[in-house]
Amino acid sequence: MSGSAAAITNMARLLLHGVGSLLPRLSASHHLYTVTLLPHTLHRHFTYAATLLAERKYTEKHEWVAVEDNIGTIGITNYAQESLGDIVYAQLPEVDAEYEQMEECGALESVKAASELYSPVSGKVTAVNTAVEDQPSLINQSCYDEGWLFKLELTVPAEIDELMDEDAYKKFLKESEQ
Amino acid sequence: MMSLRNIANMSLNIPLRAVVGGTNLLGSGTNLSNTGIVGCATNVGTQDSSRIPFNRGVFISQSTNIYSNLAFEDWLYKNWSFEKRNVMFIWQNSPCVVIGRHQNPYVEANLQYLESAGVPVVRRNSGGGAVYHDEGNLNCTFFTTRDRYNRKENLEVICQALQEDFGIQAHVNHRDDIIIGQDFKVSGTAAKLGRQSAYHHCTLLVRTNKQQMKLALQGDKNIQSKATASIPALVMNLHDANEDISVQKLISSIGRKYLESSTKGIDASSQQMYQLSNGYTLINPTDDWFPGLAKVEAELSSYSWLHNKTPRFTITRPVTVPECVAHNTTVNIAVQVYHGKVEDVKIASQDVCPDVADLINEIGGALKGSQYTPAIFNDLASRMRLPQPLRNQRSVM
Repeated sequence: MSGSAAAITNMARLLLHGVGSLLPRLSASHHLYTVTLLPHTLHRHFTYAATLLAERKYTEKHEWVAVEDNIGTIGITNYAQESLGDIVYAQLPEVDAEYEQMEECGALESVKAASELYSPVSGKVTAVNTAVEDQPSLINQSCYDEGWLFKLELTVPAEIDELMDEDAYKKFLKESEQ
Repeated sequence: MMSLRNIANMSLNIPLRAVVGGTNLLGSGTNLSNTGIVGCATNVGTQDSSRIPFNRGVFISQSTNIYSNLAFEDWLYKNWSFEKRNVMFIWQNSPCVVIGRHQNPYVEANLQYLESAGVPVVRRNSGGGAVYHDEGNLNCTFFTTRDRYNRKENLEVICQALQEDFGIQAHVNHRDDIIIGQDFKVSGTAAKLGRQSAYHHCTLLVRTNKQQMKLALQGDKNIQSKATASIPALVMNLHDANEDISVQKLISSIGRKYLESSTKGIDASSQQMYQLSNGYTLINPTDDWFPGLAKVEAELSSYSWLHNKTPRFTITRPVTVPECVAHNTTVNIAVQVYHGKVEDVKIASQDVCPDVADLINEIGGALKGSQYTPAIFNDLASRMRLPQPLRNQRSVM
């Protein structure tokens, strides 16, 4: 295995190990699924997402929001999709619905558990990702790209500044792994 | 409900806490863990905050109304903090079918049969599949903080109770079902996870009417849907494994195991102290005791909650074209429904004569946006007999 591929696989193992120590056990088959897919998503993450990375902000509940022209695109982080397991249904908010920051706006169902989705910022929903309604596994496979959940028009743009940036989120993940 | 009180009292040998009054339970603003309706001592000795909470309560519902019980479960989840205390809620219902949050009632249940039998079909807030409840079925809901959510741990409590008190060998499979004997399922699990709190609930087949269950859960399989599907399994009643078992005995057995398990690994004197402060509480789930409950109940029993939360699905049925329109013709019609409303009406047969096709498409267009009911297929056929503009009239729904 080449040096960079080894590094990626090690990162993948660390992430998995961290998740495993905190949460209900993932099935053995799921472990395999994630290990083979993770290097691929990381690769895509690095190649095209240089500017996207800079714009993405994170919440403590493992959601991300990327703002452009006051429209925020929202999704869940890799940590979240891993801990949920295979997502079988995405219950997304309705277009034109308005939410306050941290208000419940939908749910993701996986392994018989319906996990609530919270809006990381206040706003009005402008679009939902219908691809994910038809194929919820997109969220597991590509949580930062094709697995985006919904877009909203920010009503309180200052809220973005309160959220964590990439480095702060990585630090937050490390600290919670204890 | 005196019998429940007696059983709980006798089996645990500790003073029974009062039936829950509504006066202590306020809206979400109050942290209730210290006002303890069960009077739990929350600062016994030097309690290390990182250890599991030793304070536990068992709530037993006095109602067999599915709407009240589900509403109470939701109320507790939204209005309580489980930082300092875990709660197990035990409840039973008169006959009903409960489907998961993202399921399709048409696929999961025989709605026509259930309507004629007066058996309600209810959508719950947690995920998972469809179940049939009656008085021979026991439900247990385990409430914890989001961090302490652990299904296996909860199911182990039940398995231990079954093993130690009734000699039934049960184990938990990879799907978090409880299995006994030759792979027979006696319990299914579902859960809901929020920011602060989470709950995991499961059923237990003690002495359910399996024939009714089978009839009730026979849904319409000619539906293409993105809804979460139920996984069928071979089931059996616990009573078949041990004739001595009954719902009442199981309640006290599981309750005892749950309360005892909080004190594992502590010294004997502290153990006794915790056991004195933990206990059973009988719950009367009404709006008087729990303000706001009636509102949740009303939503759960509404037509819109059951039907308009259904994920997109397509149902295809053959429709016989009226003789006055075409001779001896049957066309397959596919109706696409989203959140209970008709989204699209398409012809799913080949070689349909253009006149009939046009007629169907015209009427189909008029039906878009209306509330879906299975009667739509007959409605379509009847409208074909009518002249314009009657056949395109929007139905009043």
